[in-house]
Amino acid sequence: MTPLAALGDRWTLIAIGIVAAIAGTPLGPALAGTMLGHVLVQIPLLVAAGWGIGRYLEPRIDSQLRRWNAGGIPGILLASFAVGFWMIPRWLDGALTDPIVNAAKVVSLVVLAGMPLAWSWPRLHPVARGVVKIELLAMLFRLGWLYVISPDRFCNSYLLTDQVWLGRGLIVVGIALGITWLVPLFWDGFATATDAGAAGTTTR
Amino acid sequence: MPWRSAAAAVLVLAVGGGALALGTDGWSVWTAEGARRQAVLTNPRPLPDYPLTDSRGNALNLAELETPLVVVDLIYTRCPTVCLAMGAQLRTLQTELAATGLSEKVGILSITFDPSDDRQALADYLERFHAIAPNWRAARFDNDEDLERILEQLGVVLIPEPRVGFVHNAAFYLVENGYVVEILEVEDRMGLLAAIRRRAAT
Repeated sequence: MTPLAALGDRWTLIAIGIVAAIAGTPLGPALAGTMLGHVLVQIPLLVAAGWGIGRYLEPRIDSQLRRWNAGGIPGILLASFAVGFWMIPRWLDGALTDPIVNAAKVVSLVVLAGMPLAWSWPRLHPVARGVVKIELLAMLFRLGWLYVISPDRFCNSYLLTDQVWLGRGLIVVGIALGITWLVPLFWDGFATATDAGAAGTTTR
Repeated sequence: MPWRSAAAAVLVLAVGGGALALGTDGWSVWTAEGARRQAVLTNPRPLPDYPLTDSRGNALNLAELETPLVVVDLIYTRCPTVCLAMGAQLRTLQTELAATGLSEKVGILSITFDPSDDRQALADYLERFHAIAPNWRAARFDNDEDLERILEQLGVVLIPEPRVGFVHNAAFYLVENGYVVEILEVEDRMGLLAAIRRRAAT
């Protein structure tokens, strides 16, 4: 097996490439140059990259260790805290002014958010998935609304107009995700949800 | 749920909650601006001995300002927005200080962070706000490196903006015997005056 093949499939390589590009090339600072690019592009990319790497590592995790995340709840909680922490304006700001904080951001979003997501989401009960989706939508709309209407800057490193643009972006993403998740429910959601195990409330 | 997952979930909740609590100084500080204001309250920050020159050509030293209390603001004279607001507040403040007999104890120092501000620009700035000499002075750092360092030490972030020049986290820095002891909101002149009175009384 060649070293490259040992690294896993194409997606894993792309994931590693994304982390390297954000951590080690001007792409990282360029994305963080605007609040929208930082929160809605760079951070999701890092989480997605963590997912890609986590997916590759999943079958190689010791089965004893895996029992600590049966059902996926601990992993989802970990990912939520890791992402939530970087939604605090103080630390988003800190990532721009302090390279150590930025390094902590990259590592934690990959290792503590993206990877646990890959290990947890597929095994998460559909009801729990619904809760996570609703909470994510709620966070997008709450933060988006706050950023659109706030007359104060939350980050010293970003302009107020930047903050408003992020707010609009969050709301747009919230609407898009909401539609993506809700619309299928009107067609074949009932059958699929029942197949997936969420019986009871969805079957009439 | 098996006991291992339950235990892991509880552990994650505890550690994650702890991290958020630490990261916000116990749910109280959510912004970098809040953090730097809180930091000087708990830990007054000594000002370094950087040389400055004021609009009249007098040499000053940041660590050894003449009055026990000094209100410092960081400005640039072309500023069309928040520096004007600060200047207007300081204009009122200096008359309030004079009315309460505090002028002897309290100085005002406006320091420019724009290297293109020369002595004339600073003099014009003071004149624009009817600054009373020698209580209110305007100065610039002799060395550009000192300026860079003080901005970093105080947590001042400048965003170059083509139309207005700079967007910056403006504030009043209350300096007591060479230490920054409070950082106050630019609208909060009453709070500033209260802090001055409290400290001048002791």
